[in-house]
Amino acid sequence: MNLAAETRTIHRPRLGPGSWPAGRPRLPRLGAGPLIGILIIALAGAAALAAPLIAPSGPLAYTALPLAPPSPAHWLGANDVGQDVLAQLLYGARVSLLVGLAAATLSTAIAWGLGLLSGLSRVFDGLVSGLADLMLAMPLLPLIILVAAYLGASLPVVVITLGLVSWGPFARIIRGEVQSEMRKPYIEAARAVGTTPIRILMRHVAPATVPTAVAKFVMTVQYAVVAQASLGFLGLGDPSIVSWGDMVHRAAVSPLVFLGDSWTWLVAPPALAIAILVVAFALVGWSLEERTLPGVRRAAYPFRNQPSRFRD
Amino acid sequence: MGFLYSKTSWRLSVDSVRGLARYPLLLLALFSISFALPRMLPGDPLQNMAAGGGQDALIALTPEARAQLMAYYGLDQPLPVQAGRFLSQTLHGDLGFSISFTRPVAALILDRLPWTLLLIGVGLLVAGVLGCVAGLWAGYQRGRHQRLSVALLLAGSLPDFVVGIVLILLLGVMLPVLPTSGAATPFNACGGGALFGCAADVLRHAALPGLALTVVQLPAFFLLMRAAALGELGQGYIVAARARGLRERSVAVRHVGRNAVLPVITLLGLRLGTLLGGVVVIETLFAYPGLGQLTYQAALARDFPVLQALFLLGGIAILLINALADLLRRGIDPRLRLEPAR
Repeated sequence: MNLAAETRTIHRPRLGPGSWPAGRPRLPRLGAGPLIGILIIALAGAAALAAPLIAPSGPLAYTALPLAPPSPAHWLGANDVGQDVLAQLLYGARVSLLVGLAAATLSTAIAWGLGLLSGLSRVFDGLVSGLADLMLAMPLLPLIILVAAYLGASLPVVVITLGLVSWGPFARIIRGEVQSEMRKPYIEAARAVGTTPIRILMRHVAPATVPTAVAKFVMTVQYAVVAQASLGFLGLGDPSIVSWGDMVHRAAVSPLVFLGDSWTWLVAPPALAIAILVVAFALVGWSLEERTLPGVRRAAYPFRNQPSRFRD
Repeated sequence: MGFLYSKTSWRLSVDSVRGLARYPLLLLALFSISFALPRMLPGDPLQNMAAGGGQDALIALTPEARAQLMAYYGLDQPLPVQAGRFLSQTLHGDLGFSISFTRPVAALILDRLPWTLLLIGVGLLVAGVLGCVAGLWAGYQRGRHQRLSVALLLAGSLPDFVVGIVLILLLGVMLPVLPTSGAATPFNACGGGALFGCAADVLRHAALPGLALTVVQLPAFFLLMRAAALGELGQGYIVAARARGLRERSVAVRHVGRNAVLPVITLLGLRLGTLLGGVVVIETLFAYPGLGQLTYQAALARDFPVLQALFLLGGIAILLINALADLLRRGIDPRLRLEPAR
């Protein structure tokens, strides 16, 4: 985030009173929303890293009676075959975060690379736009399900699939930014002094798209976490590992679970965990995205750093 | 079709022809992917059949029987021949014959399509209309109702199955007013004269999955409309309209609303296309017999004809709906007609 802010200050100085040229690069002030988001993500990350240390048992070990309700020995009870729910929850954080980060990295790399390429020439631009259009015209969720159903949803397969299908809209946005950046006078100046197109892209255009890329990266993490959980929920998860989506699937596959009270420890914890993690990424993603929006739409964003001129 | 022409001269402009030329290319690519993707992945329909097809006992396929079946379904032909047959069949309006369902693919899809359409109709249209109205209202409130926006943003980022589970708990279990699964009560006398009761039953079954879809989709429309309305409200022509003495309602609907709804229509088109491909998760949670469930079952059964038809039709639907949304935007905003057709 600091990176994003600094890049903006260096390459696109804000010409407001007192901010430039006198001021140092300003660090962005964090609103309550993104701060909560970062805290939650940090907490989930800590749980994921420390899972073997703090979990009461392995996620697949049979340590309790089947469907045991929460007790001092098993804080969140046990599932239908006697596996500790708390342990599964902690280990599940690993899967969600790993898939989310890895898939988003792949997707960002593709989208960013293709978006920058579009600035190289009109031919590349046409190719990139066409590819992005094709990605947008594909029914994505059925595609993911198809691949998962065929290949089995082992983690590498899920990561690669999600990374390969989620770059379409993102590449379009980066492409738009690259195109508008390429039309600016300083690019013309750079070209006039004989800078090569590739150097222009890497030194001038690429840094200008960093804020957007960072924002979109976080949004893609959120997308990948949801998609992975949805695959698990559909029963297409990898049976050898435990993810939050799998836990919900296992419990909610029969609607009867809701007739007793066992859903309170079988369905609620993993569903809540998914919801909270996704919301955390959304909070951070929006506040990053807000910084990349131009003037007026910025005022419409709920997470603002400065009072809006629309406020009565 | 006037939208396709340039405003100044009534000739089909070069740009719009170039824009339209993208469609055959996209269709060709879509066709290739629909054909290749199911076949690229491991497994084939006969393996699934040999494994019992998920229903019957194991069938032991002798090599001869297997070869016979492969020939029967045309799966022993070289891939280019299969692709050519798929293309010519499709162009003749024949989508082929499902291997795992042993029915024509077209009939299979037509069976499921109404349910998905009903679900999308209930869910997405309510979300779109409600989102537009509420977004316009919230835009008029300027900076107030920040909490509402934040709450909606949070709700809109939740996975659909989490929303669905919460709804099942609230309206199906704690306050059991709505059915939580299926599309109609089995063995309900839907055939006789009880048309009204039948429709009520179907709507009751669609209510909960439709509501889940609405909750998931509404925030995006609301927020986009609100942002667009805020942007329009800052424009000079609004002041001019008020100065002319127009009623505020007319300003809100004809000026602010008409301009602000344009990006919302684009979003509606995108979402509609995506959802037509199948509301897989919600359909699975509520055991709703729509296209999403069909995709899921066909993928598990490696049913090539069904899969390629679903992909092709899904892609065409997305293209068609986006083109329609584009035309609609041109109808609403005359300025857009000056730009080349996309």
